[in-house]
Amino acid sequence: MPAIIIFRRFPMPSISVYSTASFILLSLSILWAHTTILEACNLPTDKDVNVWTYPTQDPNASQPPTSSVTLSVNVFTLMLDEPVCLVLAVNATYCLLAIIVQIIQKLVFGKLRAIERQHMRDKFWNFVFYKFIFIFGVMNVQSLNEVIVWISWFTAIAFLLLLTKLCKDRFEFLSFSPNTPMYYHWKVLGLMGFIISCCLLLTVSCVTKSFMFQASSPSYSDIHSITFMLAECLIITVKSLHVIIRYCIHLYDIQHDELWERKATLVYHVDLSMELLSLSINFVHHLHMLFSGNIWLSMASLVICMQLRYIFSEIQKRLLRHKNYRRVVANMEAQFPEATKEEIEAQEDQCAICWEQMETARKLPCGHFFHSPCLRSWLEQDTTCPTCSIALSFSHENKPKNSHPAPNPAAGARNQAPGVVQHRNHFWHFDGSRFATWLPSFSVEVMRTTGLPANQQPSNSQLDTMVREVQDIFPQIPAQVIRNDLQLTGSVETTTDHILEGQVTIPTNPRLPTAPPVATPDDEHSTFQIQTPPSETGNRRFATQDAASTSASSAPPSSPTVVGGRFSKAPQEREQVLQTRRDELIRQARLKYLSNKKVDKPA
Amino acid sequence: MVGSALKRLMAEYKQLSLNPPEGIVAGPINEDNFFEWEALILGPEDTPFEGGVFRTTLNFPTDYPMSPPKMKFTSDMFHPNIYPDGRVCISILHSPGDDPMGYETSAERWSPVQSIEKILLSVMSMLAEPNPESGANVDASKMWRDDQEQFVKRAEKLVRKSLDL
Ligand SMILES: [Zn+2]
Ligand SMILES: [Zn+2]
Repeated sequence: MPAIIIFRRFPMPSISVYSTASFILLSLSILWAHTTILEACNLPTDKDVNVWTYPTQDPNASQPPTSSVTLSVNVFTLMLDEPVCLVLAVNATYCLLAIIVQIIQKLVFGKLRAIERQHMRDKFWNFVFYKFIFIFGVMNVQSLNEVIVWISWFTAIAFLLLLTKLCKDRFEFLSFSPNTPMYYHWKVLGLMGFIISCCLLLTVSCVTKSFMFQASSPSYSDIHSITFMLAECLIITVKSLHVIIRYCIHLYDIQHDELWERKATLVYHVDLSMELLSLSINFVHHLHMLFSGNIWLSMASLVICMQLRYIFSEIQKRLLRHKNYRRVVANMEAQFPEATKEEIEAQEDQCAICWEQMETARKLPCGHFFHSPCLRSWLEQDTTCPTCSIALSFSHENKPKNSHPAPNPAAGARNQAPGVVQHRNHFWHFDGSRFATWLPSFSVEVMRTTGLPANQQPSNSQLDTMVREVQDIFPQIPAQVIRNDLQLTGSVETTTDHILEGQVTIPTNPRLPTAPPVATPDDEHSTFQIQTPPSETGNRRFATQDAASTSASSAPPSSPTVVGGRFSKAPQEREQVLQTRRDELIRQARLKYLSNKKVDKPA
Repeated sequence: MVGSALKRLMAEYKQLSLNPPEGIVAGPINEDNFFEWEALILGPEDTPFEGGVFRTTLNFPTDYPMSPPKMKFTSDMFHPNIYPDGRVCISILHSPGDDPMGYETSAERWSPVQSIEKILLSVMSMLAEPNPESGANVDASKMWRDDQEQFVKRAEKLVRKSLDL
């Protein structure tokens, strides 16, 4: 990478200097070509004149080209033949492109974020590297003209590709905030529309060109080139289409306040199909490259092979993930019934995962309710109840190994073997026996989920009865602990003895040792109110605050309602309130610290 | 699923603004990005960190709450469960599957029903009761075990520093 470092240290000329210089040079070269042509026309005996004149023109070239069109065509042809002029013209084209990019950036994106710049740079150098290999390794381009044609083609492709990536990044960033003005979204979406129309245009021109080749007698390499070009067009089209569809779904979602339950499924399937489509096109494209290369054992074919392997593993990963998804959905639908309206209403509950109201929900064996999409997302990475972390029974036969590319690859390992589940059951600590007595169906379900072979253990209902017997004697001990011990001993007497002898470890509440008592899982959504009674905390807070503000005259007395129990709809106000609360916390801590110091010192 | 993560973060922000727990102020650093938060945590009373106001940042993944946020102290800290670079080593910030520290299985893990408030309260209780078994900061663990007095002195310095005094 030293080349890049030097490149970065090298003072890059500003865009205005660069563009001015290139256009001055370009106009100089045009001027030169113009004068050359005029001189050539004035001296018709010059032997070169016929070369400069356009073929369609009259053969009597001695007539000076009066029409401005023919003149400019002549100038153009002359410049194409003169290498220096050609280079200057190409340079000017790039300059124009750079200006267009700058304008688009100013109009649509504003200042790029660091991460976006980083992505752009990475993507750009990657692109340059692979296309370099493609031009010289696969196409084996020899002549300068061909190189220029390919480079200009790839410039266009890179332009579209980078813009797509940038739009994608920006879309994600814009959706990070609820207060993004709508016109930002429309700007980016408009740009995406522009990109995709460019892509479609390129694709169509590729297709028509390939038909043209078919009509005439095609040379072998031409068909290859066209197919390569078509593949690249298609890949970008699919990518930009993906971004656009995602964007439309997002915009639709933010404009409709109510929960859109099928959104997750829709997004998943859009992602799946688009990713698989672009990956498979890419795969075929690379295969084509590999087989059309003239030299088999070259550096280029090695690089292509590596790339192929990478794409293949991506496809594999995606398919495995989809398999896992299908398994989760199937299991969920089979085992966790849709809750009835009455059940949901009886709960009067929010979904504990997304904190939104539940219209429809699925019921877990432990009696917890969640939205199906919320539950599904979680079950894709872990097969436990989110609230009480009880292991849920899932058929393990077809569980793909290491199929979790997403956040925690190891999560799936947890329940891969029934034995592991059993072992883990031993260590469950969920919130106490209250839970089981509230929901008697719970214990039956749990037993089914432990996956123990029935012949070694008492049957579910038997064990259930035994648990109840023991719990009648020791109501303070969680049912799960008793169950675990019973699974080992298999008899009520022995377990009772164990408990009396203190061999059974009763789990202490694992949740927050210093925090106030945690609510029962059924009240999970209201935990906050329970942990910090609003009125009480608020009052205490404000009392201290008022005292502090009267003692410290420098700070303006802030009204309690602003600092405490308010959540403004306006972003600026929210920010301000938050800042005030921050300052207040620090100020009070300082006051307290200083007064403590004063007390300490005399002592 | 950025959309649902955003809604959830918004709901948590609202919750934390309406019913703030004692000694915790948390919210997005910037309203333009709800996935980066700053939280101030007041050192719990009767602990070495009493009275300090410690700054932390929380970075949320786009699939929050399916994955836990990443939490980091930006104030200088010296604590057995906080890495020298500020990262917090606490079980609630890990998914059930990954087990880098070999926590006992009973320790509470990340699940989507956890929340920012619970994380911050856990961190508060971690400040109160360090767990010297996890070696996020070996020096701090050692000092906490062997030389409580010096640990308290060191913490006192950090408290002063956190208050800019
Ligand atoms: Zn939900
Ligand atoms: Zn549950």
